[in-house]
Amino acid sequence: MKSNRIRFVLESIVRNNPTFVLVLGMCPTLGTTTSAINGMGMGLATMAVLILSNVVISLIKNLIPDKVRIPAFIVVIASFVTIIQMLMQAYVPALYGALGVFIPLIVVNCIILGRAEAFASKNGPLDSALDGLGIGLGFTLSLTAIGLVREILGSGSVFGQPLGVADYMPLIFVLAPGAFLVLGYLMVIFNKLVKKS
Amino acid sequence: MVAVLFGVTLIASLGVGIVYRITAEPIAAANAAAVTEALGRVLPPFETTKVDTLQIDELPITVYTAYDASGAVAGYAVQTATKSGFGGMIRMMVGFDPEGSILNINVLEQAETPGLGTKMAEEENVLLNSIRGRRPETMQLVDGRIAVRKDGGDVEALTAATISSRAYCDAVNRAWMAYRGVVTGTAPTDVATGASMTGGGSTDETTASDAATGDTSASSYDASDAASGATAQKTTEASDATSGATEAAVESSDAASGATAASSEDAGRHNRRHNGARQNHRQNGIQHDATETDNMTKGGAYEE
Repeated sequence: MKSNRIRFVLESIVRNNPTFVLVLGMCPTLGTTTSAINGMGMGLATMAVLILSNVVISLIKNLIPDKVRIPAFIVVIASFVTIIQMLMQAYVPALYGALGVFIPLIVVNCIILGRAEAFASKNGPLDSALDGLGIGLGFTLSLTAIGLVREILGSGSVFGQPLGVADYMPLIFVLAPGAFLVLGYLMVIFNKLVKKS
Repeated sequence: MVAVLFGVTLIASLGVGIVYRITAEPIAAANAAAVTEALGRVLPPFETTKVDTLQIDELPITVYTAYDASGAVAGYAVQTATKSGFGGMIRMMVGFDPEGSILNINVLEQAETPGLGTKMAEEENVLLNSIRGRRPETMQLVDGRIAVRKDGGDVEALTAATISSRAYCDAVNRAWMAYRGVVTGTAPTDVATGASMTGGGSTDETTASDAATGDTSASSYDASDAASGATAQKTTEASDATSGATEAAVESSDAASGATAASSEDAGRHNRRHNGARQNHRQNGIQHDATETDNMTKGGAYEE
């Protein structure tokens, strides 16, 4: 049973990877991955919201009439996003400043409502939490990977540590077109590797 | 159905409210710490500060007058902003020493192009190095404002980031305007429509006595100077973006300088009226009504 659950989480990270396989939540993916740190921060904030909203929604799923389930889910998600936003503003103001507008936009990230609809409203709280953890980790890892590649190629640094080659790097990878390029190539590589295994 | 939805929203808002209560204090503390840190970067060591809030072109500008332990002015830090950055709003802190030289500039917030415009936030960048340690008055001024080389000034621009560099100068100019305003005790008016003074408008003792000794010459100079400076900036920007609009900009600059006399009189009168009002915090809310030129500035910034 225990190994099943771990398998399930790993499955969500790889086979159901939100960025490279499900291709959900592209707006924050493209917008926040200018550096590895920013990508990771966004991924972790999304994961926190995802786990919390999944648990709460699976707990209240039987109380909510089908007709109003979407507004109810949105209210739950929006509340958690607001709470996370205030907590970040209070305790990690630097990261909050870097992610800026993307924090409130977690509300409309389709991964979260998608998992609420597809998983949490049909399963128990523990499984929903694990689903949130798996999908959230998958999202975090993908965003960190994209951010890392863009940061190395574009600004010549790793997690903010300069490699001393900044002046020779093609700036375009930090700009919007670079986001699409890196996302596309990483998606190809990821799916190739997953298919092989 | 409705009851359930109501229940869900009620519980959710309750939760948000509780977290707000818990985090309100740390958020305020974090903001205050950020301000203190920013002040420390641009000012010599100081003990206390006095806060003045001004408004130039609808942008709030805060002037922190820092005093050392003996009560003498250690310097002025101006939290300034500009909307004309390549990526929108830029906020920065500009430190002046009591003689009016720029001590240091610290960019607090910017969204410029990574690797190009973002260099403005780095230490020892060309922009900062060509401004730091100098009094803006002694620099090559273009219509009373500092400007990048391309525009006739002597500020070294960042390579491939002229718009960001212009915005940087714009923010420094606003800071300088606000600094002069606080030092001379007058509001830095930007008066295309005639400055209307709102807010408290009360001054502290020192400034009030300044006004009482009939320092009208200084104040009217300041007001008109600020006005012509602001107009000049708009003219440049507007003509930059849409060369066809130059005529209109010049026209409105005429209108602005026409209004200057009236408004500087206004400012003087205002100061005398509030003569003697004692307050530690002075609030000069200068409302600048949006004019045609203003709209053009905005349009210009984006079109570029």
